[in-house]
Amino acid sequence: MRERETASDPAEESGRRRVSIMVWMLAVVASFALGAIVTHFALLREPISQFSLQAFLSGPFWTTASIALVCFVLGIGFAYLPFSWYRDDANRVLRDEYRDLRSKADALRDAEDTWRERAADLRRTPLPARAARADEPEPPYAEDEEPPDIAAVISEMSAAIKANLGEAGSARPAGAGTRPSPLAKPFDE
Amino acid sequence: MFEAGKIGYLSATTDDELNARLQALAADLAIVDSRLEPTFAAGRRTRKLLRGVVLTVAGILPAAPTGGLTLLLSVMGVIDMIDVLEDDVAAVCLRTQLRNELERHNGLYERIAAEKEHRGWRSRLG
Repeated sequence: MRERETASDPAEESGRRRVSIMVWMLAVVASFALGAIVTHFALLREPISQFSLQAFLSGPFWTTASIALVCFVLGIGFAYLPFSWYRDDANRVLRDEYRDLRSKADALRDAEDTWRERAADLRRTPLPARAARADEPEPPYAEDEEPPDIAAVISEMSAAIKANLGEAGSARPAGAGTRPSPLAKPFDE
Repeated sequence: MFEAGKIGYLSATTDDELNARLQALAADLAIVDSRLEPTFAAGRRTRKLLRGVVLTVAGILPAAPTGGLTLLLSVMGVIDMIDVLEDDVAAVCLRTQLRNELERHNGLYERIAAEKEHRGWRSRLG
């Protein structure tokens, strides 16, 4: 849709512009002629058969009107300059923002491509560390077995230690503490 | 070509679709870059307007001595000025349209970049 509009734009645009220029010209000429004729006949009260362009151009109306027209046209020319600078700035800012966004999008795409290439390389070639690990001896447990649970091993060990301590305590004579009794003092009696 | 305003939830798209959207965005930006008005066009318009001003003034001032013949120069000058003003209006409309498109493209880029970063972290975290 947008592409079709863009393709048909130049011909339509030039046609519209031609019509617009003609309308503008007709409006300017008609308004100026209307003003001139009304002023001429309202001020001079002469019949139209006596209208002379040479006399009109040398009359006071044209003198005043020509000065006004010249000032108006010069004013348009001077007023156009700051507006053109403003438009230049706006266009430059817009272009910079577009190029900035485009460079960011390209950088993101390049990063994605680089990441994909690296991932493909990694998939193709095995890592040296992984190859070296293949030469290492196998772990003590088989690969299909799960590694031993550390908590269970520790609890088994602590139970075994407690059991050993319990056996050692029952083998001692009754009344014997775990600590040796303090030596009797010689002059205690 | 993807419409920037019709992008839905990017998290529901696959990686390939996301990359396709990114490529379409880059292509759109390249097209817009070619549609942007070149710098010399504004200078050419300014010169044309000044030429119109000069022609108009040069046609009005000596109209009385020449019997109105130089008013033809004024007609040429006015045509030049109107052409420039029409060009300016078209350029302003185009700039407004491109500004709106830039905002939509910017939003789409931000969403794609955020989604890609999110997926990148997710894949890094396993």
